[in-house]
Amino acid sequence: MQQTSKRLIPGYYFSLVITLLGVSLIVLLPFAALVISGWQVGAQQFWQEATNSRVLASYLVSIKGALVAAIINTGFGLLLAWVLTQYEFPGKWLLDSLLDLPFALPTAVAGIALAYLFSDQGWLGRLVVPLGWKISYTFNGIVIAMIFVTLPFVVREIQPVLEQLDFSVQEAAYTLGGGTSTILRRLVLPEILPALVSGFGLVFARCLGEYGSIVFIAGNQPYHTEITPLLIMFKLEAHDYSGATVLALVMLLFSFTFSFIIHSWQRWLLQRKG
Amino acid sequence: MQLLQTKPIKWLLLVLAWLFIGIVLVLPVGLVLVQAFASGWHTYLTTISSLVTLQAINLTVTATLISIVFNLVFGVSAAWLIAFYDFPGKRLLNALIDLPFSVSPVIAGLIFILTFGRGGWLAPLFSAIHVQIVFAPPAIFLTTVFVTFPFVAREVIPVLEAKGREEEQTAALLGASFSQILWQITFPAIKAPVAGGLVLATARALGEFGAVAVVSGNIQGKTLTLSLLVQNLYNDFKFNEAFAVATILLGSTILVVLLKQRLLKN
Repeated sequence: MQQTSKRLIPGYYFSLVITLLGVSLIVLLPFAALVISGWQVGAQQFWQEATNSRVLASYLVSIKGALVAAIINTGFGLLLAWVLTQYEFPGKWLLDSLLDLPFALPTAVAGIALAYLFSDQGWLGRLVVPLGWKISYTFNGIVIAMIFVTLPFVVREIQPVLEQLDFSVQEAAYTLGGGTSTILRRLVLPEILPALVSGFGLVFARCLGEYGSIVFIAGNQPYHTEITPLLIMFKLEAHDYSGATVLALVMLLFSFTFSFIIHSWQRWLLQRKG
Repeated sequence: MQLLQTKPIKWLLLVLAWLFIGIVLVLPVGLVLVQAFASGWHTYLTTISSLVTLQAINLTVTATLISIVFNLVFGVSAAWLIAFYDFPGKRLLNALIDLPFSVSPVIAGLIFILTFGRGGWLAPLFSAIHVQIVFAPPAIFLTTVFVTFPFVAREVIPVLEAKGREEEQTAALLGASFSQILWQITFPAIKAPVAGGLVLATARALGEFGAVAVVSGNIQGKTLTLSLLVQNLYNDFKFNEAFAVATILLGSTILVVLLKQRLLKN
């Protein structure tokens, strides 16, 4: 049946040609240019470009920032999803709608607003000056920008799971005298863990690649607040195309490995859950 | 549900949630509005109606429209192909469609420089016919199409796969033509995801910054999109003007978010 019905619906070649043309021109061709350009660099120069001290420092800034932002957003994402699914309160629709903003707000707009807000004269930056804190133009600023752009990811992953969760088991455990923390840890957490892991992965991956919102607030000091995408930008402006290519390939390799690990972990969690 | 339903805990969590959203979301957006009008209505109106701004609006809207048309044609074709037929390499095709989502915007720009820029593969071809791609509007259109590439396909494929192919197969057996099947059977079923994908693509295209910044060359009146104009004004310390232009983007963003929620409800 499968064989005979394979191409019963008309339009196979039509859709095939359009799809292949689109994928080839927009995705395959430019990526092939990247791989070939990387190949032409040569192994020794590749290694040097990929591991010089300024580049290594930029990896560290990007990874550290992404990790901190992912941890914070996983925590608050869980909190927001919980509040939105479990409680009734005035302004609930507003909170829910606001969460969509970072998906749609242009990164340059977010970037200048955050840089201004958290600078020493800004509405919020001013408040932390007496404490000796600085946010804009430091590592803290990078984390703030990363938190902003990835704010909805974890919430939107966990929300549907919490909505569908049948709490009768949990309530039974509660009436039988189980403590709230035990119930949350033993009964609720396993249900939402796969979504939590995939949300964390999405946030981390997006933070690593983020550029627009970060450059305005980061200060962009080599070795301290320079993220890898910005370093690629600098290399391009200096017409150092091979240097930019090397960094791009390292970033791609890292993010593919990372998402592979996250996917495998998530699949394992889902299987274990049954 | 008694779990965490005691009043103090509920209020504590609610206050925390609003505080967090207030600091990282509401204040930045409020600041854009306040700063845009900080030098008065007159400056605001002069800024957003200046020639540079209008040219930037023109370029941004053109890039967005091109992305929308591409997304519609490509997204529906790809979904049709993937949902209705079995062929080798389907998983690979799926992965390739998703690829632009997992790439940093800066890398998205870089790959087009490497393809069309000085020393790129296709550079000789385009210089022979005197068409400039990089540091000109075509590269801005290409990168915008790239960063929005998967949106419609991603939304439509699961819906079409869940719907199944039986209706289309029956119609084909009964002698319906391609366009009859497309317009009378398939399209009504995928209207919502198509619209949803287009809304997301519009938002991304309007606001794309990193990828466009790489290929634009920052030529005033020629390759400045709204986001790049915001950057230039900000870097020139014309903060209020930067925020004024930013309100155009903010306004269109809010429209897009509202549109998306409208679509989700129906």
